[in-house]
Amino acid sequence: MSTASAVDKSSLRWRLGPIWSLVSLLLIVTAATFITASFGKSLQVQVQYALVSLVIVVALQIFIGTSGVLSFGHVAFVAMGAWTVGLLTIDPMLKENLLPDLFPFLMHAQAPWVLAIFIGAVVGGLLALIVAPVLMRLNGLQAGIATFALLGVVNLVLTYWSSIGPRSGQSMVGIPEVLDYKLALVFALGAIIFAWLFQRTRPSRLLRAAREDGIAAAASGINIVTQRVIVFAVSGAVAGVAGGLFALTNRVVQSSQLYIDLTFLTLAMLVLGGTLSLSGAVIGTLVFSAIDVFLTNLQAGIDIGSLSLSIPQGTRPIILGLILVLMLIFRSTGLTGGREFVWPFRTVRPLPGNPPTNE
Amino acid sequence: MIDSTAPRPRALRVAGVSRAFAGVKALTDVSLQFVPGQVFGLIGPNGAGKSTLVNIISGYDLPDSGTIELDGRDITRTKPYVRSRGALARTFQHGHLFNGLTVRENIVVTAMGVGKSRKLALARADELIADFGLESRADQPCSALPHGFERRVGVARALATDPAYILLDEPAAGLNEGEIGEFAANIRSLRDRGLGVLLIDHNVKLILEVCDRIHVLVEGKTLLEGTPAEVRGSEALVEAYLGRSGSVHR
Repeated sequence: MSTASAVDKSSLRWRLGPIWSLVSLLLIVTAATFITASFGKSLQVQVQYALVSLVIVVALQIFIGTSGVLSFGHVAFVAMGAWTVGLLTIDPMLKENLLPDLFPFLMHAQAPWVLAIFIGAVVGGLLALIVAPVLMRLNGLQAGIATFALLGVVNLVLTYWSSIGPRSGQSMVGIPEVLDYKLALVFALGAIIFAWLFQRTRPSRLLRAAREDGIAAAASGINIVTQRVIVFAVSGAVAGVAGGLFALTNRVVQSSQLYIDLTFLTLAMLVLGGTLSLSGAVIGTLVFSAIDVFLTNLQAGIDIGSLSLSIPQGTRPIILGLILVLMLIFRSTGLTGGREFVWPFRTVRPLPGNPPTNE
Repeated sequence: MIDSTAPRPRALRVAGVSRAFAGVKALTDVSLQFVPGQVFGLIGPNGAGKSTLVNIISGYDLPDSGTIELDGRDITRTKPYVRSRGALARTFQHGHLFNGLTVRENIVVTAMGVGKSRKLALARADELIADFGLESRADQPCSALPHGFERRVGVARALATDPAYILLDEPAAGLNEGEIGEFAANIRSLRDRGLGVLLIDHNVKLILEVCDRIHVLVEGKTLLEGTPAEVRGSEALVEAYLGRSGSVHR
């Protein structure tokens, strides 16, 4: 074989990689969405929330899966996206009544919802880019604590600074009803495609190598901090999109909804599926959401013929927590084991990488 | 005033480097210099300070005093990734490959790390895979490689940065006689291509065979430096390694 053809062959492999993993994921998410939605309006709403969670988890996987560094701060970027979309889509007349302390430019700012989501992505990405040069120098526990501190600071600002949102303790209401589960599906599929493509970019490949061995990475000319900053900002932008989708799904936004509960819920989804692969993010979200919906309905009571099944109120989070603990004990690499899922043929190695030995 | 038009000396120079850990002196006033197109051997018994010196030269550790100069530039405080991009490559005594990546990916990522486009990186990987006889293992994860292949991948990966100088830290450790012979040929080939090679190894026979000059460290201090013939005849070296009745030929 000539050198040129060898290069072309390996180049093609390098670029496309396991394209079937992408197609499989898109098919699985689409099928799960439409099958579940066919059971009625109530489940359509729950599917829409699950798809919003999926975008958040994909954003988390872009950073955590690539860098091996834990982040508790991504919901801060989700919150920025939600705030941005809320402020840009609520009618200015309504804002004058409900959000009287807003800066004048925010009071009159308006944008179509799709553009608002895009601006939300920019705001989320920009915040990530601003804080990243400091945060991305940290590893392990320090990184976890610092990103959690970021979440806390953003939450406090959004809660108490009425010049950029509602007064303390109040909600942002009046967000238009424009999003349904089908449109949410389009965004979720878009996020998966984006994440898949991003895995094949230079920063993602270099950071995955650095995740494997930081000492070797430095000897390979890789500036780990720079690559982390880029990937963190990109994942922050995707989280911003998720925030916009959350605002348009919930239609009421309050800072308390975008805080610790959502952080741990989405991290649990990622851990359940496996942090190291995009398939892990998708499968984890779908499985976790399915169990969550089932338990929620079980708490309300499910009638099967003459039989009525129910569990006590408050049992749901306990069962979800138990499932997560059992998963961490018996299969710490998640349902997918850190591998890309190629339905129905085989699993393939994530591109590239094995579980990190440290961090 | 510095004359910026004057040609800079082409050499990797260690000048008066000292390093201590918790009061224990690992290196004391060590100086050495090697140039492109030369294989420079660094030997010494365990604990002589060889790895400390390599870590300082490659930027993974800072000296307490002394300087490192690369082609006339002071790089003493330059970060390792910058040195890798600036023509100074190294391998590691304990592998440090990207184990979850294939052999090809290890080389490609490194070439990309120093700024090559993906296309050029892939082409460079193909060349290095052929040069080091890695074709049969090119698409296997490095975690599955036999020891001899690991060593070869380490050197191939370091060369993906297109260095002018390469530091080889115990590259022959664990290799059998046949593999050491092939490895010696690879090292000579690097010299013939104009690279400056710093070779650290316990295999004195290999060092005497391939090096142009040899620097002997004992307890962090320079014992002697000279050509293989000069070092071979040194009683001080024999004493340092094997005691008075020994021989450096293994």
